[in-house]
Amino acid sequence: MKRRKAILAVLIFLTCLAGTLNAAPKISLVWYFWWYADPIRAASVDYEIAEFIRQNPNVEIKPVTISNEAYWDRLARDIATNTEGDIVTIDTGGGVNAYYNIREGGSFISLDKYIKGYKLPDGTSLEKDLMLMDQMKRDGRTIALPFIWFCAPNIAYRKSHLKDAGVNPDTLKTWDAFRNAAEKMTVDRNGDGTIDRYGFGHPTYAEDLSRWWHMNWLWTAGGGIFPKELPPYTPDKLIFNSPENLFAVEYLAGMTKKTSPQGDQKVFTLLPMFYEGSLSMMAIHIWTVALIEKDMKPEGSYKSDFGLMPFPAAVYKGATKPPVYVFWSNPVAISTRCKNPDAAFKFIAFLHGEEVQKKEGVTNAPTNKRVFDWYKANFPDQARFVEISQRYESRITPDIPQWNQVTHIIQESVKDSLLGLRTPKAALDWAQAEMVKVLK
Amino acid sequence: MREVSYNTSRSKAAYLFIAPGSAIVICLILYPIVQTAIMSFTYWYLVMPKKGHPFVGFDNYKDFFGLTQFPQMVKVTLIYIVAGVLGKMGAGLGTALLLNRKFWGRAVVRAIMIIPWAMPTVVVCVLFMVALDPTYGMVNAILLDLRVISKPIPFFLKPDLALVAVIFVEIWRYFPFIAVMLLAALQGIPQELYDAASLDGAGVFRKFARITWPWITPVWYIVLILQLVWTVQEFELVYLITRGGPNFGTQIIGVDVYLNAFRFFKMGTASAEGMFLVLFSLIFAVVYFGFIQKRQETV
Repeated sequence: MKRRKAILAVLIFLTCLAGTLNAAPKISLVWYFWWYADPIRAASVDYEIAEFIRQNPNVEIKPVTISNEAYWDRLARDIATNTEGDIVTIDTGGGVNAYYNIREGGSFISLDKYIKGYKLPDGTSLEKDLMLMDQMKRDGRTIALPFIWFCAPNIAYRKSHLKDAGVNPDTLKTWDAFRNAAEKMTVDRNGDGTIDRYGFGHPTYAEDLSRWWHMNWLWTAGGGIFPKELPPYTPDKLIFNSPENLFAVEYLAGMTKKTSPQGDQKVFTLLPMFYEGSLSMMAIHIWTVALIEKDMKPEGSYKSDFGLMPFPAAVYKGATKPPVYVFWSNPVAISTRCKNPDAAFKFIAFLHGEEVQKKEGVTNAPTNKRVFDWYKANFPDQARFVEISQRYESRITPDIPQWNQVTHIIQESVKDSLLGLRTPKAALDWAQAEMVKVLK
Repeated sequence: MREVSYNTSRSKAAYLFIAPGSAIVICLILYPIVQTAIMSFTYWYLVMPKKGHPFVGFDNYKDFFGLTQFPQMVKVTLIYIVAGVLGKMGAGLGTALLLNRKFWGRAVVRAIMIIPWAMPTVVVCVLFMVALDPTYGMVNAILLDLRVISKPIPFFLKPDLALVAVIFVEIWRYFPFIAVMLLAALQGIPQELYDAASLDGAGVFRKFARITWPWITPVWYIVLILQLVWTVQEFELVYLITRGGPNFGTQIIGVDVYLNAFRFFKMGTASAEGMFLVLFSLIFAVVYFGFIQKRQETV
């Protein structure tokens, strides 16, 4: 009996061993991104990874989720120390060159040979059916696939607030009209001497003051960092302390003082104020629409009380300047240190298939053109957001290697202006001088 | 011959005993310092790399000293160090003296006192950012209700107030460590000395000057030099609360090192700033050890 048990045990062991030896080694890929704290987007990511693994059981995708605030510093550090993930998510609005240049020869592999003639099972052609592919090129090579894109800003407003103040949203076409309306809606409703409803909210907190919060104000006024943000990006071409920028920053500073909650405000303190009704209007971008739909109070008020209108035009020296929007994407790239680039490419290509792009549509705009009609039908508010944005000129911030330092200077100068720590003129002059030093 | 062999073998044994510790010191302390020093004289701008990181002389130091906000940074750093250390040492000493006395609930108070030091820095920072917020903060709400102020104080919107606020948080966070160290020293003072002093008619201040202070001086100076060195290196608390703002009002050198290294990718400049802080700390250490040596010679 004992001998039979021993033989049985050996046979079971050998069977297991054979099974292990015969199994194909699993490919493990690490994917870096930052938006997991958002439960809506986290659900999309969970689905994408699970579905890819179901279709490719020999591949394991390990997500590394880092907070947005820490992501960019961590990405730079990890690339510099050759420890970044196999697949990294980047941001065309936050600068790609800075991260691409850290490693000699480029931090991300060329995808040209993979993309050529590549079609997904659903028929999506990576060469023809994706938008924003022109933004994916560095040194003449395609280094990423666009994945999802965003546009900003449109103005979200609470219809009931405008109605209470006797304001017709269709008349808010210029900055002056916008300011007047915001002032009317900044009220002390309970008579205790403190304002409890603000007409307009704009984040002053420096980390939030990136390309989709303040640059479009400068662009709409006719300013910016460089003329139309086009090369050459040399110190003599800087226009940051131009009269147009000064006009825009002075306007924003005035709005912040009269119609916004005081103090250093972040996006994620202003949004809850909008949800619960103590803020009447704020500039938003496409991914905010889903959050507002989910969290707007009272429950169910989104359908009746959420309004969306275009960003107003500036009137500068008698000339009406239409709004300038910003479009950007969160591309996915493959690190040059990835040991399994074929499998990694299969995954990032999968992210551009129709099913995944539909899943991502709840908070972003899809880059797969084949799902646009579906997107319009199923996410009408997001599609309307995109449609409004596409009526106007769009720009992207200059993708220079020194972008991180330049954006820091911009953020500090605009923040100090909005909070009254420096006059807008002093702040912009300081920023111009600092940018000259950086670019030299 | 036999004596020489015995001495040689003793020396060998001694070297073997100190080898592991020396290896750790060399790998974890000396090597990073030497590497940072080398980086401070070479090109390390990650986003516009040059092959081989060529030698650039004092360019990184010039970049650091040439910053528009350099004078402001040095001033803020000095104020932060002096006020922070004095505040922590004073609060620590006062707390230790109080906790050295017997009173009902002393054990509980001693345990609660540790909380600021035991809390993660991130939690401390969030706590104070919320408490001092002009719109939602508890501090402004209480001061307004008590009619001490007529409108909220924007603690983090004015450079001077922001600096006072971060220094206060620094003191609040770290004074328990000093209190614990000094309390341990106080506990070692024989009670008979105080009894004899009382018999001789000595008052509170005289007892402190003649008994308490001489006994705790060795611990005091060790803790002081540790606090000076640690405060010179401070980064986390200030960065989390104010990011060095508003308008560079709290931009200590530690914050600038982080920004240069990990935000702007200027590792060379960050290394130069780091070496500057090392020099700063070394000066304090040299002064301290010189002072201790003089005291020992006097004794």
